[in-house]
Amino acid sequence: MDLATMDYLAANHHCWLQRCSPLAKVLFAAGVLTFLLTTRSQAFLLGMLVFILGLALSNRLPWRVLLTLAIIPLFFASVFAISLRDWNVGVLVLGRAVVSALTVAMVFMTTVPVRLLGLISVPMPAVFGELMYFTYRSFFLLLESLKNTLRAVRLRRGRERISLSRVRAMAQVYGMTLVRAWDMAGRQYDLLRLRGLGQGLRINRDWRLRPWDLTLLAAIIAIGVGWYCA
Amino acid sequence: MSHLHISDGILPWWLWIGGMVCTGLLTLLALLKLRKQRRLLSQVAIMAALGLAAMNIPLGLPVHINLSALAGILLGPLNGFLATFIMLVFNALIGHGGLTVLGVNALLVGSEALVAGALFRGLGADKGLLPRVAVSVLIALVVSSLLVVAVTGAAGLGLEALAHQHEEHGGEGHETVFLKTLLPLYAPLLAIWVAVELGVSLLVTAYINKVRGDVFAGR
Repeated sequence: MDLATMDYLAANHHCWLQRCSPLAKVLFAAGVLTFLLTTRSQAFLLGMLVFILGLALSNRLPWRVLLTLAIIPLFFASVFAISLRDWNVGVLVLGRAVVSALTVAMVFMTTVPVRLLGLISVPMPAVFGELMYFTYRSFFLLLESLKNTLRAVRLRRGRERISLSRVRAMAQVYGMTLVRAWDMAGRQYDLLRLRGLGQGLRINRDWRLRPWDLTLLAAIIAIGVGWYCA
Repeated sequence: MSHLHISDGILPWWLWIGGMVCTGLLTLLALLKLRKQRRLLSQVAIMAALGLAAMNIPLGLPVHINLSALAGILLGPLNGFLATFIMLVFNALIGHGGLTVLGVNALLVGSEALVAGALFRGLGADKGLLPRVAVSVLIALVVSSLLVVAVTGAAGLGLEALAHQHEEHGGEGHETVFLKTLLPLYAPLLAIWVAVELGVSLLVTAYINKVRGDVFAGR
């Protein structure tokens, strides 16, 4: 899945989930995960899948992104489901994997990354938040450089099957990117130090609740009732 | 690859909670160490970002590389583990690997950084760079793969408990059936991944050593 697409949505997409507080969304996701992990009802899982897709629809999240997101957990959970040779538990495994992945990803897609990173780094020392922020910032710089260089190598080498020389070329691209990144790391660190990193700069932690959080509260109560009845 | 993108709801609760606790303690230890060497922060972040970018680029094979063993060699075992953990947090946030199994996933993939980093330093500089990297990365990948088999076995136990089907399989435990079916599916992917990850790690090391020998100097 393209992290860049999800980052774009998180920063620019306008929907009602964007208006909810990051704290409420994280608590909502935690609640959904708890219900998912403690249920054995296939009907509840099906209901949850419909509910989460409905949530995505009401927030106008792109289907292509959601489908791509669902494929990876579906594929890997199906490896476990097939190995188990038990249809009933297999469906539970698939349902839990897909619904939980979609729920967590939906929180990521509708929350400004810095706020989400600030919130999830709460249990750790401050340096963890800085590390998360620095990694996220560096990822986009490196991905662009890595993709462009790999594309240039592919264009120059033309179409070819998997071979040792192709693997070697690819590894050299990784090596080159790493060397560049290593040099970049020092400069980036100096730059961020100037902007206050490690010297009192605090990651923005937004604890405020908002009126739209009531919608999520109602949703989690409804899910809880469904879980109890199932 | 070694984490098999284990999703939520597959592992038994005692395993993922245990994984969370172990990963939490290791991460805390690494962070406390990093706080005293703040300049390394950017290198840890860059390595995590590179691993994340490498995971995001398809290889044309049903596997991807994560460069965790290389992170352990370049940054040291604990910082390599930290870079791996950060990489997996982002992966979990986009649905690649479950959130509750983040601890177990971090231990599986992070073991590559821990083992490779410790072995690389333990082997001594007189052995030559590439042989040291080859031995460290290979052993790290084997350890990680064995841990994956152990975790999938435990997952089989957990799912078996969910199914309550011990009796239906007679004397043979359900986890045995589970592993017997899973391993033939997983083994070819594992073999490809070990070969690709080892090859790429060696080639990247050789390239870096050629153009920027100082990166490995003193390690």
